[in-house]
Amino acid sequence: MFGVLGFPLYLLRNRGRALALLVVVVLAVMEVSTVALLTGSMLGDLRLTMVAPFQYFTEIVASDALVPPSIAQSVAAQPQTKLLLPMIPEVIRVNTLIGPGTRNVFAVPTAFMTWFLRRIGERLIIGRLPAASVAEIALPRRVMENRHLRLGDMVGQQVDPNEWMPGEFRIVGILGGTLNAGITSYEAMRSFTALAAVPGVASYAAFAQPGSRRAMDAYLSTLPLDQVRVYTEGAEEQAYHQDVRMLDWLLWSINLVTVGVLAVAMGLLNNLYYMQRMDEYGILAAIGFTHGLLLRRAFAEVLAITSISWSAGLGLTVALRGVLARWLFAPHGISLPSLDLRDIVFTLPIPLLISVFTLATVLRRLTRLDPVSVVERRD
Amino acid sequence: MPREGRAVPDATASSGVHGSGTQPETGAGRVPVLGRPGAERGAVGGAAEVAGRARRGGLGRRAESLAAAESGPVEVVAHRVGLAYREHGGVCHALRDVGLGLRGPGFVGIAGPSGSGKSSLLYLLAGLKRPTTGRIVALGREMDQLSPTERCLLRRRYFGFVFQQPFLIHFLTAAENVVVGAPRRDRAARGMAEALLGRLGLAGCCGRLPHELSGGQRQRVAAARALMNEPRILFADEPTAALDRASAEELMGLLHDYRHGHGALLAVVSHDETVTAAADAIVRMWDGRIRAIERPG
Repeated sequence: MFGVLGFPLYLLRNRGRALALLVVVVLAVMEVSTVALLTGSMLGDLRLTMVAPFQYFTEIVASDALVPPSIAQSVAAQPQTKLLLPMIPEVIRVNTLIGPGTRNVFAVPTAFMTWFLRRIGERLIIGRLPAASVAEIALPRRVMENRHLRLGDMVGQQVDPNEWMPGEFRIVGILGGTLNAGITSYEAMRSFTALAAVPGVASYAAFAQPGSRRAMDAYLSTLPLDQVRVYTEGAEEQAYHQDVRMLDWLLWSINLVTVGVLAVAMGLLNNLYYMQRMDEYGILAAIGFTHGLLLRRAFAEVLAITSISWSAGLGLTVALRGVLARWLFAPHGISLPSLDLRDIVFTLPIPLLISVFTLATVLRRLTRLDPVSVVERRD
Repeated sequence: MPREGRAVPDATASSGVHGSGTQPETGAGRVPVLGRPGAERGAVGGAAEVAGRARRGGLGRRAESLAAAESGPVEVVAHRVGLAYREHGGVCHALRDVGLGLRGPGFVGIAGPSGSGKSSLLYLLAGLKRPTTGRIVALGREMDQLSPTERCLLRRRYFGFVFQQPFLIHFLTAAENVVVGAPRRDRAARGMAEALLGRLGLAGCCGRLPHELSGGQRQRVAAARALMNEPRILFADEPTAALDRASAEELMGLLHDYRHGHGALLAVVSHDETVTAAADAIVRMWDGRIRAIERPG
């Protein structure tokens, strides 16, 4: 492993060759991890708005206009239901890495705001919660940064036509938490909807008693579909996976093709290097180094250079993302995820495929190596 | 005591100096043995000691199976060996039915025109090639009965090689290239390599890379590499062909010093009559057969 025939000395004394491989692999890792970052960011956004809220409650939405009161009473009366809360789900626009995105805003009765926030893991960190029946809103800190908003600013379609959320709301509080959801008054939000003049509730959030979520969802799934639609965590999770499955498959295909082409190119380059070193391997075989030892030596060299390059690529990616996050994205309110498992899973095939391709071809060459063909050569 | 270079029959040969590949009258099984019998290298212990020494020499678990190579006679015998290649749809016979024994200590030259089979014979004797017919016994071990790994280990521990080209590893210094030949590449080997280079007049070149050395210096480094494992048999294939006269004499002087000092067998293939002039015996090859065996002086 070490010593005069070890890979450290080889890499040290052949820095030009090692550097060529290193640079290509590093660039490839950075490119692939950037793709992983962009797609991961997109999928993360989708998950945050499509699936994440449903880990806390199940949503019941009227199939037509309003949820029949009898159904609401029936759900509320179930022993596994802790609370059935009128709720209007809305979204507010944010800027993401790949363009415009959304974050949830929940309009709930003012009396239940604090309870609701605690339940979904959010908390007020600055300002106050919206007052009853007043067009006020509390937004997550990240949304405030993203949109460059300040307390007292106005948001909503009446202020900005590009906004998703109807009406005009004054920001009175800043929230913190992982769900990145805003909160506003149910009554105020209702006044901006088409059903403002109609008595009744169009959607509810159903909270289960501790340990009774499954039972509650089972009951809710028996409700007549022609009257209400039920959005459970399981169904949303499934819908999410169906939506992203094709995208993920496409991304993996592109990734594997990229990595495959790279592996072949790098493998050929490695092969060229080894062809140039056949004298070295030939003389070692002639003076008594076994094929096993020579194969292990080649294996160690290939594995070392690809591993070092891969690690360097990830290291540089982290550093670059840190710089970009701090100086480019943070000022625009866009959070840049740091290195995660997705980067590793996406980039790991690079060193693996390069190693496998190189070793497969080099090992074939080495196992067929006849030392006499090398030493017999007369120049 | 027979004088150096005298051919001595082995157990299967009756008498005389004959190459069975050229003089069929010697009969099957007659193998002339060249060298000085009865002058084996001393201080060879019992099997356990030998195996231990071999293990320390880097042979590992296979040491015991090769222990006989350390304690046996310094001898390599070709029993009616032939070597044939498939070439352009036909068969090319590089060697035909050659019988020959080389016994150390001593110096045996192998001469002959290009294509006569002298290098092929050397490669067979050294275990670098396997004969298509016949068998080779080296240091008391039947080569055919050794696994490829054991044959490698036999070469690595007991044989030394000098080729026409030095084949130094381009990114290693002179001293590091010499260390490559050591059974164990540890700190002691490094010291031994530097000492060896010092004795070869290359003390100032230890840290130089091959491209910083002259042709003669490179070949001396290659020779030092061949001596690092203190081989019992030293094979050299046209070792001076790429050298000027002074460098050639220097290199051969080095190899002679070694074989005298260690009781080793030196087998040299060369076109150059001045190289083989000092040999105890010269095997003359012709068309894949031994044409004659001469004893200069």
